[in-house]
This record gives sequence, C-alpha cells and structure tokens, in this order.
Amino acid sequence: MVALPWILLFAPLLACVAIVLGARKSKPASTALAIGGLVVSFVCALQALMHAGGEHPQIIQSSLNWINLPGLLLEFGLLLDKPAILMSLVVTGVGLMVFIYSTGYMKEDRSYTRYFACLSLFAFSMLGIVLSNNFVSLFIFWELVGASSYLLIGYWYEKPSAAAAGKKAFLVNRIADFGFLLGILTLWNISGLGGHEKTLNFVELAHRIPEFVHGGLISSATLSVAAALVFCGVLGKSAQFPLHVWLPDAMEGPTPVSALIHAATMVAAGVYLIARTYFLFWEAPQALIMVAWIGGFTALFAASMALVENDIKRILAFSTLSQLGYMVMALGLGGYTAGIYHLTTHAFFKALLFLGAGSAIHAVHSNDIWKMGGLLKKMPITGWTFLLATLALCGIFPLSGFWSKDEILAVAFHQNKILYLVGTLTAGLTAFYMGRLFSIAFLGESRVHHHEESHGHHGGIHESPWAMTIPLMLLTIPTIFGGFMGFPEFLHHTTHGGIHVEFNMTVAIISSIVAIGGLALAFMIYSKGMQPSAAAQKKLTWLATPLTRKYWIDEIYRYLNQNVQQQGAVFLGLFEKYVIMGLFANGMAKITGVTGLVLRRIQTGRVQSYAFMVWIGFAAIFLWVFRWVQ
Amino acid sequence: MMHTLFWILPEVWLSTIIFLLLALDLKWGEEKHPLMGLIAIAGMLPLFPILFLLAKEGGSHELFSGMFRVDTMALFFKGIFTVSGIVALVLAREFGKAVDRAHGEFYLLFLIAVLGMFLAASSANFLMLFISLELVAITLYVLVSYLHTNLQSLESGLKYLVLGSLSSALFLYGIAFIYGTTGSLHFETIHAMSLRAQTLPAGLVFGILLVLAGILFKAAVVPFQIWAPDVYQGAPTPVTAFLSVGSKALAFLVALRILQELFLPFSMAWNSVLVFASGATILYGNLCAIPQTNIKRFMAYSSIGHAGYLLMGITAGVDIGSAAVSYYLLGYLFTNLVLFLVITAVTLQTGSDEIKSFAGLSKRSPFLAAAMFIGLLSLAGVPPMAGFFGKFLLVLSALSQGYLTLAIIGAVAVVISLYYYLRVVQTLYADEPVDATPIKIGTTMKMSIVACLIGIFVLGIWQYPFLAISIRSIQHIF
Repeated sequence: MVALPWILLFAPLLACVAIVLGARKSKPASTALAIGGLVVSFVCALQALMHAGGEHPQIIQSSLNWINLPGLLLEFGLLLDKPAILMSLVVTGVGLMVFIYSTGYMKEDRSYTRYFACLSLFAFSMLGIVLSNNFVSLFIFWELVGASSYLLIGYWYEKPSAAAAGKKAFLVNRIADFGFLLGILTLWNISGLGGHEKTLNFVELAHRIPEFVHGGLISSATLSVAAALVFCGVLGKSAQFPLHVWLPDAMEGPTPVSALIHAATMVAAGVYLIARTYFLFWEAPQALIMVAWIGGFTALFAASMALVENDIKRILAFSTLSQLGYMVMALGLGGYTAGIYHLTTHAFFKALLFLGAGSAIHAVHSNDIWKMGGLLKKMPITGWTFLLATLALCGIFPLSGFWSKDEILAVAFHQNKILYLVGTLTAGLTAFYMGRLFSIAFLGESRVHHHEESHGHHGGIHESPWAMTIPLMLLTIPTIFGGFMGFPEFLHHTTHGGIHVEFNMTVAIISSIVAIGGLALAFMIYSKGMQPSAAAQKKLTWLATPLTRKYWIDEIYRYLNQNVQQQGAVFLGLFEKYVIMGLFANGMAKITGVTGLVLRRIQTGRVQSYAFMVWIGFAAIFLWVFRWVQ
Repeated sequence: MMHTLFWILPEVWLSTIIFLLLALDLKWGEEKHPLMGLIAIAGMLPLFPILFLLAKEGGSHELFSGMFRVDTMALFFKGIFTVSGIVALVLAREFGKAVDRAHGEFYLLFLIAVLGMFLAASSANFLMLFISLELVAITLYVLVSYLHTNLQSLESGLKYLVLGSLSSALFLYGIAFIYGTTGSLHFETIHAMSLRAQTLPAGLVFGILLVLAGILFKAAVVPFQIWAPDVYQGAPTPVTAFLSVGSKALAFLVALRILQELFLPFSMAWNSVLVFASGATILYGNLCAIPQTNIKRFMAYSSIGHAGYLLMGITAGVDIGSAAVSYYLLGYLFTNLVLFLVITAVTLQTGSDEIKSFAGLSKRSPFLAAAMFIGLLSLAGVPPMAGFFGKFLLVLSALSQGYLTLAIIGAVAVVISLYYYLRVVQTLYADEPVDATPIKIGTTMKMSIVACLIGIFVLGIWQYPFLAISIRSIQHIF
C-alpha cells in the first residue's frame, strides 16, 4: 500500500522519460507509453479509492528523508488522503480523456511525440501537487507545473502569439509564486513556535496551527499575513483577479491542452491549495474573508467579459475564470465541501466543453463562433454532448453542475447575502453567455465559408473521428450523474474547519429560474444566428467597450510596465554597464591579467625555484604561528 | 563476531590481486595487456561488498598491537580510493592502447598505490602512516614519469620526485619533533596526552607545523601548490586523474586524522594557518584557472581551488565541517572522474590536450559533450549536481564557526569559477569543430561515465543517505 502513491505519481514521469529517450521517432509507441503511464496512475487512484471508504478510511503517508541537518529536516513525501484521492481521480480521469482525444486531434502534427512527452510531464507535475505532503515538495511541483504548462501553451512556438502567451503565463505565475514562497517561509518560522522542531508537513501543521492559535502563541492577524501570502500562489495558478490576465491568452495552446490545463488541472491547483491548507485559512479569518471577496469579484468580473467574446475558446476561458472565482468564494465563505465539490464536477463538464469546442474547431478551422453555426445537425455527437455540458455549467436540474453550484449558493446565502447576490447574478450571466455561444455556434444556419466547406478533408463539415468523440461521450457520464456520486459525503470531515449547509429549496428554485431565464434570453436574441443590428450595437457601445477591452487591465499593466518598470530597468541597465561590467567583470579581467603576469614569474618551471618556494612557504607559516602564539 | 583478522581482508585481497598480476605479467608478456587491465578492474570490484560488510559491522578495531586500526572513516575513504582506482584503471586500459610500453606494470603500480592508500587510511601510528604514504608517493613518482621517452612526462616526474621528497622530509622531521615532545608515535597515546595537556610546548607546535606542511603539499594547497600544474600537465592522463582524486582524498584523510583527531585541543596552533591557506588557495586556484589553454593544466588549477574548499571544512572542524569534507570528496570524486574520462577519450582521439581541441565536441559526440557539461557544472556548484550541496555544506560550516570572510571568498569564487567552467562549455557547444569526425568510445568507458553521472545526480538530489554516511564516517574521530 505504501508503494501506491509512488507508482501513481511516477508512472507518467517514466512514460515521459521513455518517450524522450526511446520513442521520439515512433508515434504509436509514444502514444502507448503516454496513455499507458496515465492508465497505471488512474488504476492506482481507483485502488486508493477502494481503501478510502468505510468507517476507518485509510490515509497513506509515505516519505523519504531528503536533507537532514541539525535544525533543518526536509522530507520528500506523499500523502494520499480523501481530497488527494478525489483530485488524483479527476486529474487522471480527465487527463486520460484528453490523452485519447489528442491522438485524434494532433494526428497530423509534426512533433506529435514531443506533445505527448510534454503532456506526460505535465500530468506528473500536477499529480505531484496533489500528492505532496509538505510545502517544499508541493512548491517544487508547483513550479514544474508552471514550466510544463509553458511548454504546452507555447507548443506551437513558431507562432509568435503562442510563444508570447506561454511567456506571459509563466511570468505572471512567477510573480504570484514569489508571494507564495514568502508565505512558505513565514509558515516555516511560525511552525517553530513553542520550541517545536520546524516543519512544513501538512499533517503536522494541521495539528500545530490550531494549537498555537488556541494557546495564544500567535495572533490571527499574523496568521492572516501568512495565509494571504500563500493565497498569492492561488491568485497566479487559479488566475484570480488581478493576476487573471494570462488565462485567456493561454488559449493559444492546442485545444486538448486547454481542456487539460484550464479545466481539470493547473487552474484547479490553486483551489486545491486552499483546500490543502484549509487549517491555515480557517484560523485566519481576515484572510478568509479576503479570499471570499476576491473569488466573488472574479466570478462576476470574468463572466461579464465572456458576454461579448467571439472566440469560442476564450469564452470558455472566461467561463473557467468565473467558475474558479465561484470555488474560491465558496472556500472563503467556509464552504470547504462545496468548493471541492464544484471543483470536481466543473472539471468534468468544462473538459467536455473544451474538447467539444476543439472538435468544432477541428471541423471548421476557426475559433470564431460567428463562422460556425448549425453544427448540431452536422456534428450530432459533438453538438449534443456540448449541449449537456452547457446545461450542466448553467446549473440545470438534475445535471452535476446544479448540485455543486447550488451548494455554493446555499453557503453564500447562509454566510453573506451580498456575495449570494453576486453569485446568483453570475449564474444568470453564465447562462446567458453559454446560451449565446450555443445558439450561435450550434443552432441556426451554417455560416462556414464555402472555401472551408470545399477544402475540408473529405469535403464539408462532418463529425470528428472516434478517438475524439468517444472521450466526449465518456465525459457525459460524470457530467450528468456527478450530482449522485456522493462527492460531498465522501469529503465530510476531511479537514479542520469548514461549515456545512443543508440543501436550501429557496436557493435552488431561484438559481434555476435565473439560469433558465438567462438561457431563454440568449436563445431569443441569438437563435436566428444574426449579429444584433448596428443601431442596437451602437446603443450598447458604452457597455460593451469596457467588456471587449477586458476593462483595460492589460493596458494598465502595459502602462505600468513601460512607465515604472521600464524606468527601473534603465537604471539597472546603467548599473550593469558600469558597475557589474565595468568594475567587476572587466576589473576581474584586469586582475586576472595582473595575477597571470605575476604568477608567470613564479611558475618558472625550474625545480630549484619551486623547492625554494616550498621553503619560503614553510618559513612564512612558521613565523606567522610563532609570532602569533607569543 | 568476526575474527580480528577479517578487518584486514581488503588489504589482503588487494595484495593477492597484485601478486596474481605480477605473475601474469611475467608469464604473458606484453600482448595480453588489455586482458590484464580487465583482471585488475574485476579484481577491485569485490572490494565494495567487503568494505560494505565491514562498515555494516561498524565500530573501531585495532590490529597488530595498535599499528593498524579500522573504523568507519577508514572504510569510507577506502571506498573512495577503490572508486578512483577502478576508474584510473579503466583510463589506463584505454590509454595503454595508444602507448607502446610494457603495460602490465602500469596496472600493477595503480594497484600498489591503492594498497598504500588503504594502509594509510588504517594507520594508527605515525611510523606506519609515513611508510604507507611513502609507498603511495614512490609509486606515483614512477607513474608520473611512466612515459620515459616523453620529455614532458620525465620532467614532471623529476619535479614530483624532488619536491615530493622535500615534503616527505618535512613530514618525517615533524614526526621526529612530535615523538621528541610526546614520547610516542601512537595516535591513541598522543591523543590522550593532548587531551590532558595544560600548555603547548613549542617543540610540538613545530612538529605539528612540519607535518601540516607535508599534508598541505600532498593536497596542493597554497603555499605548497606550486608543483601541481606542471606535474598534472606532464603526467599521463590516467595518472593525472588518479592524482587529482585519489591522492587528494588521501591528503584530506590524513588531515582529518591528524588535525581533527589527534591535535584538536591544539587547534590554536594550526587553525589560523589553515583559514588563511584555505582562502588563499581558493582564490589562487580559481584566478589562475581563467587564462589556461591546456585542459590538464586547467584541471590542475581547478583542483587547487577545490582543495581550498575542502580545507574550509577542516578549519571549521566539529561535526558538520568534517562531514562536509567527506560529502564534498564523494561528489568531487565522481565529478572529476567523469571529466577525466571524457578528457582521456577526446585527447586519445585528437592527440592534443589543448582546450581548443575540444571545440564543437557536441557535434562529434553529444554523449561526451553532455557528460563534460554536467561535470563542469557540478564542479562549479550548480544544483542539482553533487558539487552544489557539498559547497553549500562547506560554506555553511565556515559560517557556523564565524569565518565570515572565508565564507564570502568561497561564495565569490563560485562566481569566478562559473566564468571559466562555462567558457569551456562554450567551446564544447558553440565553437565549430576543426575536425568533425565522430569520437567513438568503448563500453567500459561508457559504463564508467554513466556510473559517475548517476553518482553526481544522486548525490545532488537525494542528499539524506549520503549525508548520513558522511556523518557516520567521522563519528569515531572525536
């Protein structure tokens, strides 16, 4: 049993190494290795699930000592408890669908094997985050996720926009991770209070921190600072306001990558981190309320930007942002179970949406929803599965999204009425933009260019190959039945803190009405498949412009970059030129030159002078010591 | 409980192999020398399980009325000597194919040097120690001047002989002074006396300083470093590799034994010398490495720099410093051996040991270039290679003893060393090869390189077990 988490974690890495070393030339071999590796992980996660049920759930923790010096004990360890099991099931399950789907989607790609090697590396890094039992190894994997997502987002690196998007994602995450690192160091110092040996182990910290707070060793304000710093990491990975800017651009990667990174894994890592360290947030109420507000704001903010977007993947990206905001808000309000529950269900239906979008893009060779239309008839499997996922996202009874979203709203209703209103409004906006997307892209008449129609692979728009549609169909199962699989019960009492709120009929009815209303409104406006008239557009410019320009956030950052950072960079440039280069580097070269000259005199090559110098050396030592001793 | 004679089993085994090779050399003559090389290498391999079993048994055991002592430190260093001996033999075998000279004795001399090192590691008496060190030194004089038709090799052999004898004389003179003041050559007795001592007799200080000079000479530390570049450059490459690793480890073993074990209570007599020597050596080695154009001379200066770092651990003494010396030596062992394996492979093919001849190695043999790249980064102390953690521990130990200046010099020298190591990397990867013929290497070479690379990475990534070994290796010396 102890070996289980290790196999679960390392199988994809082995696959990656094997592809790089042995199967770079062979498409079938690299496919088999990548999928095989992930299947092994998935089976391990299932195996862990079998043992996790019942009265006495088994928690597997296994660690190796890494560095052991006086006062510094670091370990590399894995922890397989209930949240970790659930998360690794989601990662490997959705990952598997994405891997299979990719075999169809990326079939024609030139560097197919590189793609699968990167995917496997990514899966390994993500599983590392899920399974780590302490902050140090978690941080290492956290960075590995950043690096491997850079490889995937910038996969088509020949394309400047893709390369730029990869860089942007990486840099924004770096900024966030700096805060996270400071948070980890703060916690390291906090853990040593009261004469304990310092530790960063989650299980150990979960015991200590409540003890410290109740024992009065530490104030909740100090703890809130630590929690807020850790939350910085979440802001980056889960793309919360104000560090959300990388996510829409990251859609430059291949669509299956978007499905993997932006539905089930990377962005979920931030939410998972809050859950993992909930003992900390729960004891830091100031931080917790900040988390809730940032989450709520991001939810509404991102949903509003999705209203006017025309790129199918970007709509889904904003929707992901918004849903992540939902989860963060839930966790901030104390709804631990609700947050993780929504994380799980969302992973499935959002992956389905992305993969469906990929299938549509694959067919029409465009991301623009106005260039689609009528796809439901031409691509029935893609169309109907997409519809199911759309309804789940909007929270229509009895699909999975309904249950998890409702749990969040019930918590919000119980805790904070303003955030409840924000949540409900977001639900309405979500229904509207998803209805708009579906009506334009899948209903009405086809607006695909004839040029595309005739130049399609076999002439005309048609359904994608089985490798792509089978994952779509499989993903509908959790999308439909996710509400009845007992996720919330599974998660009960797995952490310190958190509140539980009963199902609330009023909330359920209100949110259903809002969702259906949003969908209906969108259908009425867009089902004709026409853009709103020019007059109507003009009237709404004042509203639409901030949305299409994404509230000018990118512009603000650019302005700050040019006027603040750039000035600093100019100064540092001068510093480098004159101090580093002039004084140190060139100075060093001069010193070296001089030493060389002097030493050339010494290194005569004559053994007599060498022997003489040995004597001089000894005499010097002798004089030094005896003068000093007396 | 094992019979006490079991503790000398490694030495007995090694002697057996030596006699076997001697007999075979007489019987076979010159034709079968590669086979003899293989026998020598294979003969060394069983030493690992033997040493491992003895280390598992643990404890400190005295034989031959206290002349010979086996403890964990002795066993640890015997392991290091075995590894460097094996790789030197692999190199010698490769090297022997390109040289015409009776080769049986080439292998034999390496084995004898290793035997001498083994005996020195277990010496518990100054006389025994001196004889063992001389056994090593005389063998090395022969090895350095082995290519007796090559003027460079002869010249460096002569220099090594003259200067080495000088240092032996200093060492012996020091032993005489120590005997004169303490009345004993026995480590045990001298240790007991130094613990009881109230005052520090001038004669003893003189003796300690003379012995120290002898050790510093072997370790190639300022002000006794002067021989190293000439000898390293002139010696046959396998011998240079052996000098830079085996001989260096031996010097630090003796330093740990004598300074940390015997004369720790008198540290005021030697510590300030070592602090100064350490800083000066680090700077000297690293600054002088910059303008070098010959790869062996380059490695000589680099190894002088590393000797300075190792000395840092000896000055910092107690616990972590000494453990850091052991850890650093382990990492340095694998790293330097990888580099010499690559250097031998390349120089045998190109016939030149100028750095220029490494230009564009990445196009001629990506494997060798990658191995050399990793080795150089490890020497420079870049994580996740072995060199990083060793340096980290040494600088940490210097800081914990309050040697701030020394720690800063150590850290600054890392930057300097990055400069010249990366310049070689640039030659490997960015420069165009003069001659683009691919370089072929044999299986034993390839296996040795891979083994050393694994060593570099494992030591660099998973420190715990090796740290535990290093800490265990010094537990008997206090």
